[in-house]
Amino acid sequence: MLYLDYLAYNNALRHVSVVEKLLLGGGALLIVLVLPQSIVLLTVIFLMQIVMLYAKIPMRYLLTLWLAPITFLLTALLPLIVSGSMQPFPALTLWKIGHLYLGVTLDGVLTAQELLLRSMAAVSCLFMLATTTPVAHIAAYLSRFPPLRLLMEISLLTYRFIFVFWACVGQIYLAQQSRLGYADKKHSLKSLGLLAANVGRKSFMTAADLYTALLARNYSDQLVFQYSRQPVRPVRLVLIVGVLVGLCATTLIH
Amino acid sequence: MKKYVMIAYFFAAGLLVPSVGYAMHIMEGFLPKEHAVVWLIILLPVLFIGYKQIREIVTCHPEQKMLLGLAAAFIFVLSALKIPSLTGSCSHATGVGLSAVLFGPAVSSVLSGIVLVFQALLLAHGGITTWGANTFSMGVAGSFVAWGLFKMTTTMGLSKKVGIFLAATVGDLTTYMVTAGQLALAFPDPVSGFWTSFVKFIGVFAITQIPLAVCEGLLSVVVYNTLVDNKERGFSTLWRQDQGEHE
Repeated sequence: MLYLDYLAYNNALRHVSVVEKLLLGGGALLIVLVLPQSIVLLTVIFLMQIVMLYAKIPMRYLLTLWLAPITFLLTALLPLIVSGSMQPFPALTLWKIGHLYLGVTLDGVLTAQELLLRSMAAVSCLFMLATTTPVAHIAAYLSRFPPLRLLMEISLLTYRFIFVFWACVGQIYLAQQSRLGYADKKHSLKSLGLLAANVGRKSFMTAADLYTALLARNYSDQLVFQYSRQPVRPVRLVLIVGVLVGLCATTLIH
Repeated sequence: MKKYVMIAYFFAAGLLVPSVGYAMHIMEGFLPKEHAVVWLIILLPVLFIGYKQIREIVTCHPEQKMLLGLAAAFIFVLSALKIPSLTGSCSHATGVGLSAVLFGPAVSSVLSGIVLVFQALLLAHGGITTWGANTFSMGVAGSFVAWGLFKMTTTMGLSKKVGIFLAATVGDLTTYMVTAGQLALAFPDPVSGFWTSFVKFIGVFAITQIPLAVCEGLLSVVVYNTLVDNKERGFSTLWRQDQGEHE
C-alpha cells in the first residue's frame, strides 16, 4: 500500500500534470468499456505497460500488483466457463456428476476470453493511474469543482490519516506479537480485535485534537491542501488526444 | 492440451483463491458498460441522501468533518487488516457492519464509497468502472442489512454482542450475495440462465466468504466492546446520535 503511494510520488512522470494523466487513463478506460474490440484492448494493455515502464515503475512490482486481479479472474471466470444443467446440453466437454451435467460450452469460453482481455485492459489503465498519479493530487484537482468540494475534503483527510493509522497498526502489531498475541487462532482474533478497536479509538481522539489544532490556526470551515501544480503542456495534451482518437479510429477501420 | 490447460487453471485457482480475500470486489472492467452504468444510477439516490446527511452534520457541527474523514480512514485500515480465517488462510474484512452500526447506513454508504476509491487506487482492488456496483453491494446492501439487523436485535432485547455479531456477519454475507447476483445478472449461464449462474458464483466465493464473515462478526464484537468500554474520550456527537443504542 505504502509502496504504491511512494511510486505515485516518485516516478518519471511525477512532473506531468494530473489532467493529462487523468485524460489518458480515464479516456482509455472509457474506450475499453465502450469499444471492447480485441485490437483496441491489446493496444491499451501494451500502451499502458509502456507508459508505466517509461515512468520507471519496477517490472517486479508490476507483476506482484497483478496478483489481486488475477485471483479475481481465476475465481470469477470459472463459473463462466463451466455450465450446469439437469439435462444433457451441447458442450465442448461434458461431465455427469450424479443427476447433474457439467460442461464447458463454446459460449462460455468465448465470453471468458472476451472478459479476460477487457478486464486486463481496464486494469492496466487503473494501474497506470495508480502508479503514476498520487491520490492526493487527483482529490485536490477534483476539489476545484464545487459539488465535489466537501467529499474531496473528507477524502483528502482520509488519505492523510490512512498512513498515520497504518503506522500505528504496525507499532501495536509488533508490541502484541512480542507478547505472543498471535500465538494461536483464538488469541490472534482477540489481539486483532483489540488492535482494530484501539486504532478506532485513536481515530476518534485524533479527530477531536485535529479540530482543536485547526481552530487555533483560524480554521474557517474550509480545509486548504497544498500540492504542487504541474502545468498542462499543450503538445502532450494533443498527443494524448491523438492516441485516444487513434484507438477509436482503429475500431472503425477494424 | 486442453486437459493440461484446465488442470493448470484449477491448480492456480486452488493455490491463489483462498490466500487473497479481496475477491468480492468486482475488478476493473469486468462488468459490461450497461451494467456498470445501471448500478451507478441505482446507487446515486442513496449516495445523494448520504451526502445530504453529511452536509447537514458538517453545517451544524463543523468538527464532524474531521471525524468523517478519520472514520473513513479507520474503515480503510480495518478492511486492510488480515483476519485469520477458519479455513487456515487469511482474508480481509469489509468493515461494513461496524461502520453501519456506528454511523448509520446512509453515512456508511458514502464512507464505503470513499473507501472503495482508495482501495482501487492504493491497493489496486476493485475498480473505477465497477465502483457503482461495488459500492451498492458493500455500502448500500451490506450497510442497510447490517444496520436493520442491529436495530431489530436491540429492539427484541437481545444482547449487543449478538446484535453486532449478526450485523457484521450477515452484512458481510449480504455483500457477497449481492455481488454474486450482480455477476450472475451480467453473465447468466448460457445453458440454464440466471439462477444457475448465481449458484455458481455463490459456490466459488463461499470458500473464502463464509468463514470470513464469521470471523469478521467475532472481530466486530471485540472492536465494538472495546470502543464502548473506552468511550469517555473520543466519542463524538456523530456517534452519539444513536448513543442510547451504544450504552
